[in-house]
Amino acid sequence: MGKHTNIFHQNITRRDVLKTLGAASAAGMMMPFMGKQAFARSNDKPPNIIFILSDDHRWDALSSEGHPFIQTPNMDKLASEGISFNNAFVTTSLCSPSRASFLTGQYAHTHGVKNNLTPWKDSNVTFLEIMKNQGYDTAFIGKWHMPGKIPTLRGMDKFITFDVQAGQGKYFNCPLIIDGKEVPSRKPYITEELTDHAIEFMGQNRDNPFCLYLSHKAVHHQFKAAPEHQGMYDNVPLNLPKESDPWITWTNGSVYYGAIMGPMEKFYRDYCEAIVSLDQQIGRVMEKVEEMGIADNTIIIYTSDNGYFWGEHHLVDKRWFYEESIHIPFIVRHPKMISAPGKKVDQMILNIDVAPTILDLAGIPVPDSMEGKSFTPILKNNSTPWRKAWLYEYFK
Amino acid sequence: MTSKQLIIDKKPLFHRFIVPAGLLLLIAIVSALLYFNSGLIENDRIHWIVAYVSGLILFISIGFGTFFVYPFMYFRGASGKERVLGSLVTFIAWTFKELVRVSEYFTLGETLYYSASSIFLLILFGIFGQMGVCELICRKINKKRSPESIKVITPLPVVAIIAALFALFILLIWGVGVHWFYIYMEGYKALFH
Repeated sequence: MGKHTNIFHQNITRRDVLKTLGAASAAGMMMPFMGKQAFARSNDKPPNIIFILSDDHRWDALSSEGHPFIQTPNMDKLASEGISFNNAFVTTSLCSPSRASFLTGQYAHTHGVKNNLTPWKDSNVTFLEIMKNQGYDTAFIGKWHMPGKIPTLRGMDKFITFDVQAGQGKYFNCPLIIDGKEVPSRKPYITEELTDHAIEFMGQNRDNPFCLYLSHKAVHHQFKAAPEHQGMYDNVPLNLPKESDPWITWTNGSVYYGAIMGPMEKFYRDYCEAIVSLDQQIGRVMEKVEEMGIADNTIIIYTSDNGYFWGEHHLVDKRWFYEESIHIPFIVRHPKMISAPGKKVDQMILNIDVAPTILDLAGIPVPDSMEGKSFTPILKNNSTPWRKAWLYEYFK
Repeated sequence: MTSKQLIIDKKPLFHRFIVPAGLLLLIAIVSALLYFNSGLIENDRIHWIVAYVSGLILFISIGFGTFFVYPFMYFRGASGKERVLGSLVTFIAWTFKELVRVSEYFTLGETLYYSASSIFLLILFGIFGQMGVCELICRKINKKRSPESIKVITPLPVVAIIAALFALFILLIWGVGVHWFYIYMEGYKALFH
């Protein structure tokens, strides 16, 4: 059964599982390996999984984390119904490597996407591919942003992404590439557009469980909110750190990496407004889950590819090994497994843990090639002892 | 820049070149030292004032110092080449300092390529544009003072101004600088990866 035994996503011990399997028929024993047919026969359907990844959303920019003015009611609701990890980090604080780590469960030195310039290797195996092979319906919707040509990603029923602006996409009227074909965007604002596609995928008639990987462009530079949110924080007093003076964006090397030149305070207000827009769209996904009546058996995970400096340590952007850069929000909603919703836990989890955790939650064996560790035990028991140290790496 | 303009007394090199260019460089150095060390000030309000003011002066001295240096040199009889060089001294010093900084973690080639990033090109073209503006204004003033006829508008300063405006658009206004950044990074990838 792989590293962690948990077929039906209940609070059961390894011994319970072995007993059950022993009594089951040979076909029943092989159920998790039999794909669609296996799911069709099961009375306890494997969970649907919705993984939502944002961009540059640092851990403390949510109202549930005590931010002084950003209002994120939907993320807060997710947190109140699930578990928030106080110490979630990325092993490389940069878009492409971090994204590849989420998908593969591997460090950058293993999956090979070391920075925003080194290409994705088609030999990399994503957790989505493994889930597809085990009978899940899968979709990757949103920001791929890994160097090289956009791949024909194996194991995808739906692959929607974009390649404009070197894969960063545009906040408004961003053309999409849907299963290899470029199409114009239907909605002007990209976060809403991607959410529309996600909701369409969720709503399809199906027998299989689904795994949705919803990867937003927001809230990356240029920090654009939906029109209705633009300017909403124009007059709030900011809480930028002492080192964050208006000239940092012009000094200290940030230009070499992030092309962020301009007034820091304006950028920060835009960033906060973009988070509100993102939150609104996450709310739509949550509403769809409720509307479909699948909330009890749908795991929602929200996180971001890295944090962001807003002047701390006299830095802008991410990359460097400081908390502002490596610390990410991380919320898991899983009603069947989480016994104390709303709890915040202190164990240190990593972006490379996501792939093995999702496989584990789906009852799929975790390949040894994955370097992360399933944190399912923490979801079951909040006081599970956990790692004390981990490796951070950054490649110039 | 024609011989007719040499009716202005040509001051010694110290006065016509070293004083204006050196003074701007000195202002930039002092403001940079204040700016980058302002974090040592414990009082938040004083820190903010020092950081903001020194950052502003640093920004102006690097980005707009030509408006000070160029006319100063012009009316002290500096030649065209001296005015151009004098206007670039602070920018060159700042660029050199930045290249030294990034050379700590980049190869020599990457370090040199860094000088083609938006900020340096923007300032460089900006300086040439400012020189064009200053040249036209100085000629205009000189023409009023001079009994001889001076042609105010000539191609070179006008081209410099147009080039600066074009660079401003490409480097900063077009996609808020993002498009050029991606072009720049594509070049980086082609050269070094």
